Amino acid sequence: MSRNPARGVRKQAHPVREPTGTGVAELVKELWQAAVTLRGSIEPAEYKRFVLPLIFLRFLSLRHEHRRPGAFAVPRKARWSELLAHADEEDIKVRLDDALEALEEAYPERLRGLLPRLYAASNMDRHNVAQLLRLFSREVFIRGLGGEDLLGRVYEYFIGEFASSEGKRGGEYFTPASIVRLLVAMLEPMRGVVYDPCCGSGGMFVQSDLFAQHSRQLAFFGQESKEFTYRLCRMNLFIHGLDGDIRLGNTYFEDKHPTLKADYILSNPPFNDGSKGREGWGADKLSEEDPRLEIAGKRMPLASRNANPMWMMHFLHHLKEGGSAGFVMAAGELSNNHAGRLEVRSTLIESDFVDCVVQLSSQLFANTQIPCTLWFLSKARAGGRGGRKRQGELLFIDGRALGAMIPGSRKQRQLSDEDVERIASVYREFRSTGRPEEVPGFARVATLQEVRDHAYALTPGRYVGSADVEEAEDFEERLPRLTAQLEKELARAESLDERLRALVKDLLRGA
Amino acid sequence: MGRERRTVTLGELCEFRGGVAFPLRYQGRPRGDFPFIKVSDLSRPGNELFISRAEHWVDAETASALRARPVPASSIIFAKVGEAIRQNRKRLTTRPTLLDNNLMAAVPREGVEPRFLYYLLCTLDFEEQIEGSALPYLKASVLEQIEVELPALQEQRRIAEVLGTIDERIELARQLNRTLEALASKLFQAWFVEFYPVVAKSEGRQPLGMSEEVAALFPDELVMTEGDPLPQGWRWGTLGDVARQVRERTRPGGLEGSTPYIGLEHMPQRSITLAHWGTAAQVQSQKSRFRKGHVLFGKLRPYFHKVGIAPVEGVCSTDILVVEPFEESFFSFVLGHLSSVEFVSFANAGSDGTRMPRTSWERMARYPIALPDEPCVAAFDRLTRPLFDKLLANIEEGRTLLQLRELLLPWLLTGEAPAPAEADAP
Repeated sequence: MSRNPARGVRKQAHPVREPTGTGVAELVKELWQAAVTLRGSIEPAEYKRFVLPLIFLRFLSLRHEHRRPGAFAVPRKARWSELLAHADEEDIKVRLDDALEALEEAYPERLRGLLPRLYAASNMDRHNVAQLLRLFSREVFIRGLGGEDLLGRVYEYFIGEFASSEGKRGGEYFTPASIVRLLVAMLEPMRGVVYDPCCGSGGMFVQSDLFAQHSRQLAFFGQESKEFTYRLCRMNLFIHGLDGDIRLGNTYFEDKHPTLKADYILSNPPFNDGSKGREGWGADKLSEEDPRLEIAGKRMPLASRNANPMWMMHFLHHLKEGGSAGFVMAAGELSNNHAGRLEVRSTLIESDFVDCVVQLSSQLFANTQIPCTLWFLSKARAGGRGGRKRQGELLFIDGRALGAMIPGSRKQRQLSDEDVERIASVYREFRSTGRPEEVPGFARVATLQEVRDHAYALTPGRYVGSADVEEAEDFEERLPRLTAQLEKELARAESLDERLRALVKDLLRGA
Repeated sequence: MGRERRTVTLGELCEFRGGVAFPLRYQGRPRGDFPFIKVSDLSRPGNELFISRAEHWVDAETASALRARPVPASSIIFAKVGEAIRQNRKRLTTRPTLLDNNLMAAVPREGVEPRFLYYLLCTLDFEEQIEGSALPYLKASVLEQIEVELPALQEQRRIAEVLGTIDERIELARQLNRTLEALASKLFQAWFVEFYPVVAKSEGRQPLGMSEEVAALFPDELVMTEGDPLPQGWRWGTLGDVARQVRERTRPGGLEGSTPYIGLEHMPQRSITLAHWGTAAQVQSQKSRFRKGHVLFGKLRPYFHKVGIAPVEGVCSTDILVVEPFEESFFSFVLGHLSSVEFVSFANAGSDGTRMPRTSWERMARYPIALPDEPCVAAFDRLTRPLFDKLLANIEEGRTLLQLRELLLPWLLTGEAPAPAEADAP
């Protein structure tokens, strides 16, 4: 049941293409600029609490007015037209709170806890509130049937902007759209359970649904540790017409879907969680019997200062037989040699779960230069489900050269649809057709033995033959290697210099 | 005495072999049984004497399908077709190697010392042997006829030994400089971009590669400042806070002809080692003056990434910006930023002009950086200064050796050199 039958073409060349053109991107940006100027005295980090519920209200009203199938009846108090009519009155902030409350009362099941009263108690200027109401009343939202899609885009864009204006805290970053698209294009979620245990605002779900063309064959399960983000995610799913079982809680200690086995796991867990604080991420709080800490029957150690291996074990544990996980990781995890982290990595490799590793440019995230990699773990490497038997083979892709600067940005790059397709098509071929032909410097299938020979370092550059492998190495690996090299060269220089001195003596004697 | 020389043709000393066509679809493989060398490989860094790096490799099957017979190790290869002949570049192979059809190899015959043959060929100007006017090329049959003086084998070995020692030392100086650069830049990135010492300390570990006293200079916590993590107590600033542009213009007439001149053409890409320069006698227009130890930054088409340490005092093209730190102890810090990939892409993003974009100091000075406490920077400078000093010393030594080689080469090969002292004769 496609929400928009006009787009319901079954087989598209680029099924993950943006639903709308570039004119929309500019419009969305313009709306963001306008909304930012109305922030007034509200703290930047707080502003999203006031803006996003408005978009949500607007969205419900639009769907209601358009008589969309399954649209909720919106109580009179909460209707956009009603609010807009009173926009310039003294009590507009109270009216907004009442609207949110009325909605929640009308749909306690789905909306409980999503829409707290917050306008009246805030010091937000009521004129700014009125301006915001007008901003989202623009004609573009009404015209034709595109209004809801546009609003969905606006919502997503705003979430992204709010996330990046907040900066990075403890290695958590809003996943850039092009990386989400890439993950989805590689895993191709068509039917089954999609799971993201640190789902943020739910970008992986929305993109998966778009890929599956709103087929309703996907079930979404998520967990998020921050309350506001958790609410954001539920609203986001709602706006995109999706159902999902999203739960609030810390994934490390309270696994809220303990028995879930997923067909697809797509995730962007925090990078190197626990490495910057004094306490670590809390490994000591985990029970020794935690079932997640076992790979192929082997108990794994935990790195208390880095949660990366914990996330990988969590993913693997929740993967159904035949399922695949694709997730984002900091590049250091590819070759890190801390005992605990190396053991998890080498066990994943030896147990034949590592399917593919992709390295990407370091500038794809809005507020960090940290190089990023994608890992694919699979429990389908013996074949089946249209997949190929590929045990003992690992696909490496070095995509560092792909991507271009986002127009107007000096720091951030993005992958184009062509870049996404270039990477995804190699992986699809590897998974289903046969060993993709080697493309030097870009992609190559390596054997398990080769990976062993490289001491389980998964840096794609080593396997595809990139010129600058060292660039991706951790400082702690690179430094001893360089100093040893320098030592050797200096020793050679000494013995050569001796020969040179003898030569000079000879020449002088001869002269 | 073994001083007798006889006149022979090159054809008696070696076999000349041309390469084969190298279809595009076999190119670009990073490993295989044989390196497949093209003319461009002659100028790859690291290949100045021996061919030690190659862009393309093929396996034995492909080689036999292409009917390419590898030339053995210790062959001398050189350009066979095109303007490249005029550059007279000759290189030695170190392993069985395939050549494309623009290259030719001289494979030494039995009883000929390969390194001697290499130096002998180095004394010959192949430009004089060029055939064809539209497309210059060399013919094996012509090269075979060239007459040369051949000393006895023992003398051949002595000549090869003398020049070989010099060449190896030149080669090693280049390699050392590559290692020194890599080390300095890795240390800089770790300390001031990735804040590695701070991260290690926050994890309760002693940071690698520094003494406890130096580690004590770093804070042990990162704090979120303006949306980015910053070591506690440091602040955000710009490159302009720690460095300035040196603007000292010269007029062409006022320079001694022997003054070193550095143009963009002398600067290598992605390397701070500036080993080559010309003289002011070759230039006319207005130039910028620099002193030894200034940082030179190519502002024209910044993406070429031409940044280096001025190895001498001299003048440079006005398309090169001369930069110095406000404080002497900030030298390594400033150089670290200026030569980083991130900085070059920042400078490039703010360039004006499309075909020939140029950046400016005004733009570069706005580059945002984390400003550490002065003692951290000074400690970094103390640690890395010896690396840069060694790098500059290597440049100087390399140039001296090169001059020595150029002087000795014809002298030894024409037999004008005196016999080695009796005591050294076996």
